[in-house]
Amino acid sequence: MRTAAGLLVALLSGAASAYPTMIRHGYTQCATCHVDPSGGTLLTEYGRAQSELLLSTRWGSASEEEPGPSSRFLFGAVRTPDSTILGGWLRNGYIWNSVGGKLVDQRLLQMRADLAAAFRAGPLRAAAEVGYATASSAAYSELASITRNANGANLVSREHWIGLGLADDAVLLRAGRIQLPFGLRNIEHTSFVRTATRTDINQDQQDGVALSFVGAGWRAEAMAIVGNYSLHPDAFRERGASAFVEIAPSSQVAFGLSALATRADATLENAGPTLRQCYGVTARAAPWTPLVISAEVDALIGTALGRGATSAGHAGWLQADLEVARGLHVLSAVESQKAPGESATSTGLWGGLAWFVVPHLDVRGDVIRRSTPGSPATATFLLQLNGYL
Amino acid sequence: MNTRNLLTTLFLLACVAQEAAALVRMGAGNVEVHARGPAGLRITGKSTEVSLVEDSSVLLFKAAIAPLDTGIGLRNRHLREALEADRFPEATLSVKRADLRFPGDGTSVEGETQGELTLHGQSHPVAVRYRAERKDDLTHIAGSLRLDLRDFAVVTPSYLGVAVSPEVEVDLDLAVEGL
Repeated sequence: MRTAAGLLVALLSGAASAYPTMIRHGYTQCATCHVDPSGGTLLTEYGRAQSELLLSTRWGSASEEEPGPSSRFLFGAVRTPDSTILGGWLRNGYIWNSVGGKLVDQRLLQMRADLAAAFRAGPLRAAAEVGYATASSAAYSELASITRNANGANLVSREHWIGLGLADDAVLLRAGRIQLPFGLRNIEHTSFVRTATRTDINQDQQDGVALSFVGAGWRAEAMAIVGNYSLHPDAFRERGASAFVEIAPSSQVAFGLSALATRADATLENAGPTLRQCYGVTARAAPWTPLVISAEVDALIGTALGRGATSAGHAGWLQADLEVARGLHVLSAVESQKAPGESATSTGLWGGLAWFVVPHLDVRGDVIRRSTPGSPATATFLLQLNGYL
Repeated sequence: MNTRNLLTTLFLLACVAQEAAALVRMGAGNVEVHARGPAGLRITGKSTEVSLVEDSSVLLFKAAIAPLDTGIGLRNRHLREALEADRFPEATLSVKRADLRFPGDGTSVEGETQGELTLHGQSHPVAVRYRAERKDDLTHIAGSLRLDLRDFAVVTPSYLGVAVSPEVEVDLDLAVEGL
């Protein structure tokens, strides 16, 4: 039952915009469309244009037509200077959870309400987000909290960093709270691969220093992790390093390697110091423009330091994204997970529809069924409405 | 046949011979244009409208500009505008036969030579790497070259702060009978 409850709260929060499936349009890298060179979060002006041209239903607009001013911040009502990028997310949803075929929970979700800004001047780069998270979304936002209201709403900041862009923005050195460079930066932030590796883009960012490189056909980022300073007490903060490299032999195929190793003085499961290691391989491919296959397999290793007790596990994800009409996607995925120290392997099946109705607005419906030997199966139905300012 | 008729006949025969010498070879082929932008951006434009015109001294490869497809309609339009496809509808690469090695049946050759590229109404010499393979009267030609758009008076495309590099690579692939 505890597992089932964990699965329920795991779906209580929204995600940042991150679409590794843009590889179908030849975008193997992320930095031309996103402020973060490894993807997700704020869109650049070029990214906003691609959002209208490539993601959204075009409603009769010719494919060669310029995107309208409505794709810009606040539908073009406010013109920002070239040095500044503004954006924001408002995501709400409704969730139904069942355990063993019985509906046990249904509720309206406030998933994300964030404002974000990025600034550049010469080589200087900076970006920050601030948002509002209700108590009901705490389970998947509290690690990004910047206020301490134990049973109520909190302000959150999922990322805030300052850095230097070098070599025509092929290199970015930055410090602050940053998304961990590991695995697929997929929007399904509750997938096993994201939760098991603690790289959920909704709240698992860490404070540290990161160096990213983007070249023609490859990208890489490495980060020295100094801990999540939204987390208290200090003993629970993980310190170490995370890195990934992805190579794209063609504009429709990319392969990646990821590694993460962190040490914490204590964890919820282990009162003593613990070393956590994750090693992953990823692949993205668009064998046919409407179809993108994404996969990630991670090895998970946990070590109770001082006692020499090491246990291993794994997490896997295989997703197919079929764009049946411009802006309309049929999604399906299979996943599995065996946490270190546990004997049972959990499996999950995802099915869903996502529709990018117009620039700034998408709707998505998912059905997720998860099962673990010895526990009743859980099923989740989730409807989401996502607005991007 | 009087002298006047004889001269007319010879003139017509000469014209026919001249036409036959400029043999147009239409085979299966494609051309790919590879451009790069900031932060690892790669753009590839593809077209299958490639042909080869051959005479006794020169091989002339032709590629139409308008059909180049970069995968995004608006980007195709920007490409056509940058290359002024309405005014200059095709790019040509002229290579002297004497500068090339031709494979015998069942063999292949490769090398590097100099050609003349005409793009956007401007002509400049370019280095061309090539490989040719002949099998059963079918010659498969693969060639590649690099060019700088600025040499051809092309304004480097830039869109919403993302400008492509003026250095561009072109790959050409063509299979023709004979040669």
